[in-house]
Amino acid sequence: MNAVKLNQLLSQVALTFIAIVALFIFSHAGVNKEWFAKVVSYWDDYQEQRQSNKTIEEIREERLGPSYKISKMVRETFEARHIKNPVILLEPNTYVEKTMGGIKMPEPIIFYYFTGIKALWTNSTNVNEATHILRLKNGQMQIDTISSPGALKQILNFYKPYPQSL
Amino acid sequence: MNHLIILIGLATLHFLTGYGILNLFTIKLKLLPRIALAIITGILVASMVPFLLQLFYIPITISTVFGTLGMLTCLLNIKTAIGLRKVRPRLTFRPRLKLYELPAILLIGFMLFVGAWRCFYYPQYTRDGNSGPEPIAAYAIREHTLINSVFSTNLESTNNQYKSPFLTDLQIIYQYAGFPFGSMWLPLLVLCFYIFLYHALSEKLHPLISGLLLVFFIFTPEAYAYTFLCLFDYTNMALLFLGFYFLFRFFRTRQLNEFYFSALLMSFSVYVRSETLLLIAMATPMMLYSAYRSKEKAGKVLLHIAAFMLICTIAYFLPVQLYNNYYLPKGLAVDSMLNKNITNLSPFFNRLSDMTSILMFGPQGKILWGYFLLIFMIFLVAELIFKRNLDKEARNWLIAILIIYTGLALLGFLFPLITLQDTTKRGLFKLLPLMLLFVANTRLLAKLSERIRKWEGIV
Repeated sequence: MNAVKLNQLLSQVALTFIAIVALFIFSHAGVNKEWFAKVVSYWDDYQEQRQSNKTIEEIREERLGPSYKISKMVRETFEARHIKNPVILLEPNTYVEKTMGGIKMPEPIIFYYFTGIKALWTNSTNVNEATHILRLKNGQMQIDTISSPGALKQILNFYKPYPQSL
Repeated sequence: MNHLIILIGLATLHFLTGYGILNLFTIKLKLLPRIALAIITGILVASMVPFLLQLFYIPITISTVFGTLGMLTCLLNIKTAIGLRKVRPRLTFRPRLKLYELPAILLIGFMLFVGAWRCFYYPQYTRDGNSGPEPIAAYAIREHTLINSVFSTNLESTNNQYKSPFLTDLQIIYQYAGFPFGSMWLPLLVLCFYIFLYHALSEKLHPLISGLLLVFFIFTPEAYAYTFLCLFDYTNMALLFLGFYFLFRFFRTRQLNEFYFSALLMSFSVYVRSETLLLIAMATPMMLYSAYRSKEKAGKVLLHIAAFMLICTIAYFLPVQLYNNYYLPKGLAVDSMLNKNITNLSPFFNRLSDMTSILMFGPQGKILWGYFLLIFMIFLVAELIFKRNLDKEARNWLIAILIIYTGLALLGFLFPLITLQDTTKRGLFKLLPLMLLFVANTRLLAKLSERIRKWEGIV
């Protein structure tokens, strides 16, 4: 190896060292440190997830959380009861937040995505089409039939103080 | 392993589609950025296929989608095939990767990989995705139409069903191909975008600096999150940047093929996010000024600019005006969303002020963009202080930054539904690659690169 090539190699090694130091400092500087640690933790997730035998459905439940699980339970309940084409009235999130903090009811379109069942909010213009109501009480899920327009009116009056929110 | 093979297959298909387009426009690039750009272009063409089928009321099935895509790829490559007969291509690839490029490349590769894995492993869970494109895609696969039973549900809580079919279409294609959650087009697009950016940076800078700058760009937490959260904004950012890149290339070369390729890329960005049309319209004075400087005939120039805008307007008209209003059960009246009190300009200045003080340079700014905006500001100020004036190319990028910056505030003013913390925040992504290219075109970094090159050669 001649002197020029050796010098070029040495300069490359020196520049590599500079690159490593610069990247290390940058990735550990101030706000970057905590954020980059989070990105690095994705690697741990990857290793764990690669080994796991979770089904697609279990992964969905893990990622989409309680609102997906509740929606799924609703679907299973209706399938078990052989009820065709129900339309579910969902409690307002401001109410659910008060009674079951940490859980959110999905919007009608997301509920349909998860279940294939139509849903409504208490402020939906076609709320009178609701056939059932889904209630979350003391950590339990309860589905009741809305027997008459009068019963629906009563339900809507009850939820009136609770505005809808995402 | 199976999924990796499928992904390679789809990437090849996208490459072939895009390669045909690059050949049609006779775009000359080095091999790697050429492949990257071809794949990006191919992904965008694919993202229009189920939508086009829907426009003609053709059922969306695995065979119609891939059949149309294959046919389009063949049609787009007629010129390529003719060219192959005349001249056999010499596929020589001499990798010139230097040791000092590896640290940045490995870091970027790592960040890309973990993001790609999340994209593969998890279903999408953004509210904007799940209340529009995701359910429409899921039911389109079952019901073979984009106008499916999702539209029979109560949609009063969302307007995401009116957003571009871009996302829905790609989710359909990738789920048909065998991906459980269909989002793997995104990491593919991001990888290609990084490759292209690295190439664009290395055109002027020493690769060591290019690598570091690209890492600075990727270390923007908010934008990085959208490399695995499937929404519209990251793709929109990449396409608008590529549009500007070829527009500025045209400013140098005056080659019309580059001008119209820029129009195509910008029309793709309009297809992905319709409001981008306004930002592109705001760039037309730049085009006029460039033509004025090169002393071209006014009539001809105006005609080309009109054609440029027409291409972009078609990409707006098809999904927003035609599809939303004449195909979907309930149309979307864009004018009903317009600000009614247009004479009161205070919301414009308020938005500009909030963008700057809250989203960009306030405490939230650091969480969203890391140190990237600070780096940009340092280079801007340093360039103005030490070099006094800006390089022509840097000036172009700076003007593009100003267009997007004021354009986002203007959009917030015109459409009050565009919220600061959602649409405007994600709209700021569009500034990032422009800022990156501005920094790359500063005389300070050009000088530093020159010094490193000299030192590298003579130590």
